Amino acid sequence: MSPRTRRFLNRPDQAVREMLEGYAAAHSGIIRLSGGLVVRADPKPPGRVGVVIGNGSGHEPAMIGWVGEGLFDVNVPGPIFSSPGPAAILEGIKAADRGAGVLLLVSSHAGDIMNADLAIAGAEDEGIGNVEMVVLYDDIASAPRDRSADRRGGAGLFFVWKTVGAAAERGASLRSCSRIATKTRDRTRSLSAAVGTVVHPVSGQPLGDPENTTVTVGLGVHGEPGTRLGAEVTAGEISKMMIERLVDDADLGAGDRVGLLLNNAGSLTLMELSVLYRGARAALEGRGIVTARSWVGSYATTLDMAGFSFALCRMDGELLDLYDAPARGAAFTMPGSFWQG
Amino acid sequence: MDQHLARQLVSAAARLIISRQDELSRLDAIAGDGDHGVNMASALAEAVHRLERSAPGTLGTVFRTTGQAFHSSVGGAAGALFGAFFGALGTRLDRAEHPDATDLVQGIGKGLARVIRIGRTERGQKTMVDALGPAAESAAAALESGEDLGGVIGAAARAARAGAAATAGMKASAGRARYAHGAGEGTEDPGACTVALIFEAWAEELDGKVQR
Repeated sequence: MSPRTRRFLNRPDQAVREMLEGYAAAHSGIIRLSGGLVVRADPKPPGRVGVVIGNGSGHEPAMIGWVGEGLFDVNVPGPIFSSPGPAAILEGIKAADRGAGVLLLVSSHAGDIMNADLAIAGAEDEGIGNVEMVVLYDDIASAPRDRSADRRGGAGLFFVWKTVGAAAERGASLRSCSRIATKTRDRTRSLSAAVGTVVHPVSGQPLGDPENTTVTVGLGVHGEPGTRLGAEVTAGEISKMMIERLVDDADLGAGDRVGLLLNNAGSLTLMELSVLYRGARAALEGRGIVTARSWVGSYATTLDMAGFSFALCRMDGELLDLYDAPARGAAFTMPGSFWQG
Repeated sequence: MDQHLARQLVSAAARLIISRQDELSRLDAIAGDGDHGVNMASALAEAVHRLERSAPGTLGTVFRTTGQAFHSSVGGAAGALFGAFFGALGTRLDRAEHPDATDLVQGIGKGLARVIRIGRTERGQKTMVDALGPAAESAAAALESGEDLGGVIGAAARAARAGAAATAGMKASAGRARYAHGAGEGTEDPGACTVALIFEAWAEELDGKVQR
C-alpha cells in the first residue's frame, strides 16, 4: 500500500497558512484568524478563564475546529507535526486573557512541552501572571502504567477539551479548570492502530516504514511504530483486543460508565469505523461496562493516515454534566447528531 | 570578533543546512516525522532574513536574533532547543565588551547548559547534546592549549561530527524518537547531525578569515 503523494495543495510550505485562511473563511461565524492564531469570533465575556492550546498542524480538525463557545478560546497552530514556537504561544496566551487567568493545555510531546515552558517563562518576564499549564497524556502504548507521566497525548484528550472548555465557559476559576483537566486526563486512556503510512507534505518523507502493509497497534500520532498484527486478524478481534487493553489499563470493571471515542486518523471509511465501533461496544458489554456517551468521527487526524484510535474516559456525574454542556466549534457542536444517551 | 563575523557565521550555517536539508529530513523520517531538515533550513533562512533587515548591533545580538528566528518560525522540540542554544550563546557574548575566543567557548558552554535544562536530557540519549557536549568540551580544550579562534572551532567541529556519528549506536531515550521502539537504531540523530553541520560551516568560514 503506497502512501498518497499527490495532494491538492498550492505550495506545500504555504499549506498551513492557506488552510487556516480557508477554514476561517468557511466558519466565519465561529472563528477568525488573528495573526497566525485561531480565535473565537465571539469572545468569551471578561472575567472568565481563557483556555489555549498550541499544536502541530496536520491533525485537523484538531485543534482549529475546537475553538468556540464551550471549547478553546485560542488555538496556536504550528507547522505540520511541529509545536508552535514560544513566541506564538505567548501571543496565544495574551489573546485568551479575559482577566481571570489563562489555562495552557499541552498534549504531551517533547516539543510541545519545551515550547510551552519557554512561553510561560516569557509570560512571566512580561509580567503576565496567572497562567497555568497542564500536560495531558492518554496513549497507553507509549509508556507503561507506572510511568504514566511519560505517556503521549492522543485523540482521547478530546474528553479534556470538552470538560475544561465547559467549566471555563461557566465561569470556573483557573484552579478549578486545572483540576478538571487533571481529573479528566487521569480517567482517560487511548490506543491507536493503523496500516501503512502518510507522506509529509513539505519534506515529502513518509512517516515510519512505507513498505509496512500490516495493521499496527499502538503507534503514535506521527507514525511511531507499535505491534504488528497478522493479516488473519479481523476488525472485530482488533477492536476487542484494543478495548480490553484499555479496560485493563484503566482498571475498569462491571458497572463503570465510560465515554467511548472512536477517532478516525484520516482515511478510514464510515463502513470500517462502524464495524470497529460495533466490535468495541460488544467488548465493553462483555465486561459489563456501560457506554454512557459515544463519539465516532474525525477528531484528531494524522493527515490521511489509514488508522483509528479508541479512547475511554471513566465518567462520573461531574464529568457527564460538563460533557453535556453546550459547545459550538467549527468541527464540534453540542448537542450534535452523534450524541447518544 | 565582531558582529560582521557573527553574521558571516550565521549565513554560512544557513547555506550548509539549507543545502543538506533533504538528508536531515530523511534521517528524521526513520524515527521522527521527517521534517527536521525543512525546519532547520527555514529557521536559519528566517534568521538570515531578519539579520539582513536589522541595524548593526553587537555580536551577541546577532546570535540572539538567530535564536528568536528559531523560536518564532519553526517551533517543535528542535526549534525550542536550537533557539535556546543561540539565545544563551548571544546573551553570554553580550556580557563581554570585546568578545574573544574565550567568550565564544563559554557561550557555547552556556548554550549547551540551556539545551540540557530545557530538553531535560543528558549525554547518551541520542540527541543533539551528544554532538554539542563533545563540541563544547573540545573547544574548551583547544582554547586551553593555546589554539586561536579557527583552531577552537575546528576542534569543536571534529568533536561534534564524531559525537553525531556515535549516536548511530545509541538507543533513543529522550525526545520523540524514544517512542519509535528502536526504529532509529543504526542511524544518526538528525539534531546531532545539524549541530555537526553548524560547527563545520563555522570552521570552514573561519579557516579563510582567521589568522592562524
